[in-house]
Amino acid sequence: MQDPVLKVDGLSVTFRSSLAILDDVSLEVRRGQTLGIVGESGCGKSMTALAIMRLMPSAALKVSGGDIRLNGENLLALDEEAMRAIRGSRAAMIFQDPMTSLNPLFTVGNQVGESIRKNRQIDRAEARQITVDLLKAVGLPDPERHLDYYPHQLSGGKRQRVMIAMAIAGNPDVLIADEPTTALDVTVQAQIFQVLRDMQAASGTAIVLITHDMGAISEMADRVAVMYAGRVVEEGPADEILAAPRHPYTRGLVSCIPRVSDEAFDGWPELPVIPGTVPDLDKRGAGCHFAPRCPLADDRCAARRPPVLQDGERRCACWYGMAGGPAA
Amino acid sequence: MTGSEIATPSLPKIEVCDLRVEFPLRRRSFLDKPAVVHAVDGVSFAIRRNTVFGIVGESGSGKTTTALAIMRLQAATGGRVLLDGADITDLTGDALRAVRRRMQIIFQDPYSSLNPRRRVGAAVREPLDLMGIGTSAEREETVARLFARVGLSPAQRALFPHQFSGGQRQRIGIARALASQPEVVVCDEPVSALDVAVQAQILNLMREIRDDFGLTYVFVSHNLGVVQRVCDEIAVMYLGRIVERADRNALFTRPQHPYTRALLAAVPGRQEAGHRAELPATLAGDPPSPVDLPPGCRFASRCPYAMPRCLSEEPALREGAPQHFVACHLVNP
Repeated sequence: MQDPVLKVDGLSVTFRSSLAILDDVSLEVRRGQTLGIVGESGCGKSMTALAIMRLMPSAALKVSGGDIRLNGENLLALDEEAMRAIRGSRAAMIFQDPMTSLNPLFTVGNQVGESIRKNRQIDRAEARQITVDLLKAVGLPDPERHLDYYPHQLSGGKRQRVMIAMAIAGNPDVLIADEPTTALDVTVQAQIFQVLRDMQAASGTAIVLITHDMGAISEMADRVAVMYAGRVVEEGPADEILAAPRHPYTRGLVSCIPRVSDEAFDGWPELPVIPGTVPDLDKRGAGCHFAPRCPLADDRCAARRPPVLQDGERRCACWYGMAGGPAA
Repeated sequence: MTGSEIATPSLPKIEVCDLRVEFPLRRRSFLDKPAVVHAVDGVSFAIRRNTVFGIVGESGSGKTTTALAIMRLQAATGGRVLLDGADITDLTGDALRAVRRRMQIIFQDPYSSLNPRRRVGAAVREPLDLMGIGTSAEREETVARLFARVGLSPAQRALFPHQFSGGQRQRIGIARALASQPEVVVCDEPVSALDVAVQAQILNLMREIRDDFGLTYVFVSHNLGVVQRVCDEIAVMYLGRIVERADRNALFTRPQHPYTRALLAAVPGRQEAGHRAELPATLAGDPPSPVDLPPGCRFASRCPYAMPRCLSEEPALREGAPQHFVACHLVNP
């Protein structure tokens, strides 16, 4: 099997050097594949993405262990200048709200052109032509006209397309997409997913898709990692995990989100829930962090960290084993 | 069941007839002809009491404006709204205040709908204060009871909004909506801003209080999975018009209008069930501007089945199958 494009191994990030925001996170994604990361807010999904890009939002956050390898190269060993050269070229990121990543004072052509010229020694006219091609590739109608538009003149879906165009301008090995369609209407979301799939088919880019939408996972992801309170609690092929989740948290997530169904309904059925909320950073005990909300939890779960059990392509961190029943 | 329901079983709780809401646009120059956005453009439906009526559609479809106009929080420029058979469209003063007490709203964003400088107990008590319901001590007691009912501790009344999580803030929003003992509650994207696991908790709470208080809900949402479970009847809106209206199961299992079908096909993760093929490539475009509406069907520019007639003649919302209304020349020729 091919080596992974991106390999995160045992990554830990602490806040004020004592509280663990990320705790022994291991992930990998291969060329042409998509890894989904799911979990509630506060579980470390976005922090994982920012740590990979070395874009930690506060000086109080420090990587305390593990490594991050892009095509074998350890990103954590690079200085800021070398890292800046990687961002936007070999590794790129798109965010939920395109308005925060687009400069309101520059035109679309200007911004996409800059991200091209940053990586290639070409003149403005050439950059302009490539920009038009990129905007066409992300499905923006009439790209020549859009070159002179400012971000505020575009709809949310078009802004997201411009941001994807900027992100793929450097032909990245890995693209991290953090909730790229959460703010968009469902028909626009379907278009954006199509753009990402087309781009991936054409260039083989590995995608890390951060989302809370299990529908998006089933549509886009080859593998999925479920994060809870800074740890990966379950990981494996997306279709297998959605069809037969093993970790009680994954099972809760899959069942508590109502998806459009072909069955008939009568009245207003009570929805399955995961009781409670994700524990704050300073209230995470020594054992399984999910134990306070878990229907299976016992004293051992609260006291001791569950082992990561590997079963073929799948792994799961739960005292109650891989099948969901009590471990032998 | 309430007494009034037994007395008049067939009278709808709410009736909306040919509702219109238009917003004038500022003219660039005095020579321009005045432009108008037709946010809601001739919408009619009836909501049976103690049921949940869903309004779905994308941004700009007019679903929220319709809901606000029902509550008289948005002035209608045409049409009528009836509550228990009584026309409330032109009420003013005390009569309007009396109606407002009977209709409340839960907003999408519990972060922006609470005053950050006010203790949350006072926010929930405010409707009681404004409407002069009970004595001061009775109001406090009501608020404490409401806090307990929505799953908060009565002692939390003294806290400020920032001391609560998103889900707790939405519980406060629900408590405030319940304070005046309304009969109708408009829920405008009530769980869209909440974390996934919290959404189901809040929806279950809304289900319980509907049964406890005998409420009729108007449920505005773009989340089709939620709407399918929660709503009895659903209207699909596109550019200010209802394109399809039907019982929930009929709408989800036998969608008729090409827009409804595209909307359902676009839901991610439906392709395994063989729905993906239905997503028409023409839906790639944006909807036309609500200022310069095309003469025919509003969806024609994005519709894969559009015929010449669709470009010239606007289809009326007509009953094909019983209680299944569709505005489409193809479905109802």
